[in-house]
Amino acid sequence: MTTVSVTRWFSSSSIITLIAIFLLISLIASLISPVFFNADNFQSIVRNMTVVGIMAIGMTTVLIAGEVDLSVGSTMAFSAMVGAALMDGGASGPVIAATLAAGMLVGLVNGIGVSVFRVPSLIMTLGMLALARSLGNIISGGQSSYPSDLSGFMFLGRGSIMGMPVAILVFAGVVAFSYYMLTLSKLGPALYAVGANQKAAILSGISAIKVKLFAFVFSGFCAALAGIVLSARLGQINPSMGEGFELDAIAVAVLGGASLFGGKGTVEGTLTAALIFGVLYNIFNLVGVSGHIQLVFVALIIVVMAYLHGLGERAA
Amino acid sequence: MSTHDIAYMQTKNAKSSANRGWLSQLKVDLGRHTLLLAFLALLVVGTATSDYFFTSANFTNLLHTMAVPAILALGVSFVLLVSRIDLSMASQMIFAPVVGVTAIILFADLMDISVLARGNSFTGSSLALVLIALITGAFVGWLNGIGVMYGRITAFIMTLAMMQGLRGMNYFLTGGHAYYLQEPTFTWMGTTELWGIPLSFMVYMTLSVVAGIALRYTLVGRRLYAIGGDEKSAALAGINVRYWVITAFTICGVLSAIAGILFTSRLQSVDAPLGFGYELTAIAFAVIGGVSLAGGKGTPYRVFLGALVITTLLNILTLWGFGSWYQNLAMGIVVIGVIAVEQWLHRRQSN
Repeated sequence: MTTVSVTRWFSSSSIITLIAIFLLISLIASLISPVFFNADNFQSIVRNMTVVGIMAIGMTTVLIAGEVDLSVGSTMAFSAMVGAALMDGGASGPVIAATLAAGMLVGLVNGIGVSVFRVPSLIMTLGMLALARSLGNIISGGQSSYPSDLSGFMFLGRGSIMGMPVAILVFAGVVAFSYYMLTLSKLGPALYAVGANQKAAILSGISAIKVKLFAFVFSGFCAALAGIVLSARLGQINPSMGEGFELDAIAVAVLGGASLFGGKGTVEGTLTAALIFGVLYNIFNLVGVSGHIQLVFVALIIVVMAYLHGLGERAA
Repeated sequence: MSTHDIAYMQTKNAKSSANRGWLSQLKVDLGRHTLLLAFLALLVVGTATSDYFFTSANFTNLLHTMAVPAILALGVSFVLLVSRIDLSMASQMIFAPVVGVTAIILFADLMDISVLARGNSFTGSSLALVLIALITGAFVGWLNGIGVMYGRITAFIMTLAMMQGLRGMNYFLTGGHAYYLQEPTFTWMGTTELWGIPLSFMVYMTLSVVAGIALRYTLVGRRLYAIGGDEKSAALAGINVRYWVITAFTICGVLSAIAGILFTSRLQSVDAPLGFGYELTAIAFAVIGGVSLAGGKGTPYRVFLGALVITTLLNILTLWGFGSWYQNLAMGIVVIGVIAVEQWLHRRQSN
């Protein structure tokens, strides 16, 4: 194949490309490590990707709408600390509800700042990154909480239904909902339209404000939900959790085909990208690459993927 | 309507428009000097509420705190001017001295010389360290520029990856432990003060003035503002966009390295986890100073004012006994608030 046809192939079928990369990496992995190709290992790959995966799905929605959310890591910590404040009641329901509500509230504030006050989302969510993180610390006094007595809460991170970890089911639920939203509901086309060309979308009668509000609220919800899964798995609700997660979420979404310029991105792309990252981290761990060198490798992979994406788009 | 009435109305209109002219002029002036006014207001508030605020010791401390992130802010302004972004400054700031230290240690090992005393106190040449750090900074910045212009990778993604990658490299190269720089030159760089002004701040002011002159009176400024204003037109006008954007990233890299040298000599140590979050502070300084993310707007003088206002605000909060949580909270609110108001004023003007 010539370079041109390779690059054209990249652009025309990015989901197929991603799946091919996934299979290729998996193949390499199973050659490297005999432990790789087995059901337990696959389950652990998916389980390890649930937290970042859920956040990346929320991020994808925001990116499609033409914005970016840098505050997801802090939103996760803030909403978890709001939930933790209600832990003394001893019931899981209020804790979970308060956590999710707090995440959506942060998203709502982000959305209002961006769509009503027209603060560029990079600045709005950068400010929120500092703001939500410090609020989380202030609420909790910097102290961790331990939810191990909340059986319903813990179930979301550690439980399993018929051998399937609940965390994976939660992730699957988020994937299914956002797939429905982006492809089957009326909201999907509106999101893509606003992200691709906001003026044209407004002229055709779409409320850009509502669409962006929704995207940010959904991203906040995803961050809070990911926080519940993570803190249940760790058995600890920690005000410094999620630091730097925004970068992982953006990396996964962008690798999955979402563009920082808006109007692009799919749930299946982000899901496949999350699995690619999961397999990569899994290989690194099986081979025994240290966490710091993993960062370097992942950075290299992001750069190479972004480069190939660009090549594909220009060839198209 | 008689001619008299008309004449009366005309004078009335003239008067009111003259009034409006004076008022709107005042508004424009106030708008232009908001940051300066905010700084003066903070001075008054600080002096009124804390006995310690208006002392030379506190101002020295304030300038110490301000210098390093302000140099980063100056660096990122160059990149923002050409409507790109650099998120990797804080990682670069640590990476440059880390490369300096580890390269010298490696070289010394080959030559069978020892540059480490008492475990990991660095005793090698500080001049060599500074030189290697500056070259490293320039190289990393250049690499960002190459990725963005030749690799056509969005600056956000390119520098995000660079930030992660360099952070990993920092841990890898240092082996996760700190090197202590107790060499006299570093102590000198970290502690020298002239009339209460720390060396790091003098370096910042010098860089800022040079940058201001370069951007205002030389080709560098004309090219960078032209690219930031409208890249396509600039390219059509024959400006080598690639060259200038890569230059902007390289300048940012060098300034990050300088910030890193001052930062490590202040702390007298090089350690991978240091500097976390500085990129946000730097971008906040620049943006509050009026550097636009869309490019083509901003001056080093205004970045200085932005840095001054935020640092003074945080200083007052510290004196009031509010810890870093409240300071970050305040910074988040100020960044969002300032931009929201600016956008609102901008829209009112364009209406």
